[in-house]
Amino acid sequence: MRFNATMKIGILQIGKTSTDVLDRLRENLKTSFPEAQCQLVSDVLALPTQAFDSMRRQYRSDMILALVKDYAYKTKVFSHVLGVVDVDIYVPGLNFVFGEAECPGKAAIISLWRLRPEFYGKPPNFEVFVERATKEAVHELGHTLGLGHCANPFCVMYFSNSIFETDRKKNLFCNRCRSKIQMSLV
Amino acid sequence: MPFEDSDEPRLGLVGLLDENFRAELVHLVPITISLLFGVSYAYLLKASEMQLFEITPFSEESSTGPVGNALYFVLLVCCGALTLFFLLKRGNFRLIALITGFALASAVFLLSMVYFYAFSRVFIPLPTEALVVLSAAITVFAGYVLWGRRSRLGDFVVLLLGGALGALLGACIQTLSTVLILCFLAVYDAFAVYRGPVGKIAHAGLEKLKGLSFSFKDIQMGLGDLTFYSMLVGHMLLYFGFFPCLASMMGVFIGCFLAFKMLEREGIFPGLPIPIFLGLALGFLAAFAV
Repeated sequence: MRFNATMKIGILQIGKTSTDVLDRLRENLKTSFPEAQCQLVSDVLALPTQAFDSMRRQYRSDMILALVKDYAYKTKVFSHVLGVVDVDIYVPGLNFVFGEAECPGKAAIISLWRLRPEFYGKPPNFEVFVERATKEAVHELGHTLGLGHCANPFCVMYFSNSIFETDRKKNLFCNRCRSKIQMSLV
Repeated sequence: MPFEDSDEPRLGLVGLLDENFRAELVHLVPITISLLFGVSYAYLLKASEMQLFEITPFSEESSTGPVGNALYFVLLVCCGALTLFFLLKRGNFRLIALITGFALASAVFLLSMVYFYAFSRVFIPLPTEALVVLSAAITVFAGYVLWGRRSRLGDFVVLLLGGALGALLGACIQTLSTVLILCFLAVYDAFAVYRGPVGKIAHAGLEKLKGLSFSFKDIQMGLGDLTFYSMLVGHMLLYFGFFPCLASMMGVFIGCFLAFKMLEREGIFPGLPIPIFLGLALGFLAAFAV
């Protein structure tokens, strides 16, 4: 798959995050982007304190994304940097987001906070958690490649309004989204 | 029919239908039903963990945003009341029916879509087509009940609608904006009932505006009052938890009962100021205590 050939994805830990899930995320991203290089970034960034809204008890996603963007453009090691946080994030105008990305661009972030089954009162399930994290990561990286949301509910680029939609979709691009990426990179 | 004063006294948008009215706890029953619906809807939104869009025009992040949002809501409510007042004055009931019918049908359909969506995320997954069909069916049923002969069922639909609309507003508006919107509207309500269009509409007969009010025993109340009570308690549940929600409900009940007591003397009384200020005060006291 040609569009993956030039991709070098760095997974960047921001704040406290379990390395187990990051390792699994790296492995799974290789499935979704088989020809891309994917590695964990050795640097760990601190969560920007100014991004925390004490009233909402959430972090501003766009501020964290700006941090990742800054890192991505300064280091120049990776074509795409995926920041991973384990806090609840939001953008003004929405009560929460699962992730955010430049579209197109180099930087994306995802939050693990609302991906654990425990958040929804269900028993812990690491596999479900990792699967959800993978889908959100692929979705946000899809945005960095210039993709918008897809109308196909099973495509990874389908907009998730709740965890239900995340669980329903696959962690792969539909043919239409895949060809869009290929065309944009030709 | 030209605009003319009715002999029936009213409370509030709240008014009385009997001059020998004495406030009793039983008069709180419809408010209790509407608030319980409101809290249930808010709980459903919370349980669904769905993404909600903020519906205010100005960002909560800016220092003037919440004030702008409050003024925007007052302007909306004021324009709506003035439009109804002038149409009533001109006796243009067909246009009133068209405007309120369209507004209520849109509200019922959209609210049904949101709550069926939330329901389907919590209980039984439903395809989008099913959500549309169910919402359309609910809209037709509500229209039939509201626009048919006035009945207890019609009043019940108004209670349900007030709870549903209030809970969604409470969920989609951030805290500072919610507080300012409620405070500004409470102040506006006090003015509008005595000096503005609301009192005149109430005197003209709220029952002429189908779907925008309900009556229970000797009391007549507007949909707006129910909506903003539910907005307050729904917001408290979603943003501060169970006890602040319960405390704000108590504040609304006490405030409503005091407003009903005032009705014994006044015949018409604004329904928002006392319940909203008491609800806010008790709700935030509980939030800080917890």
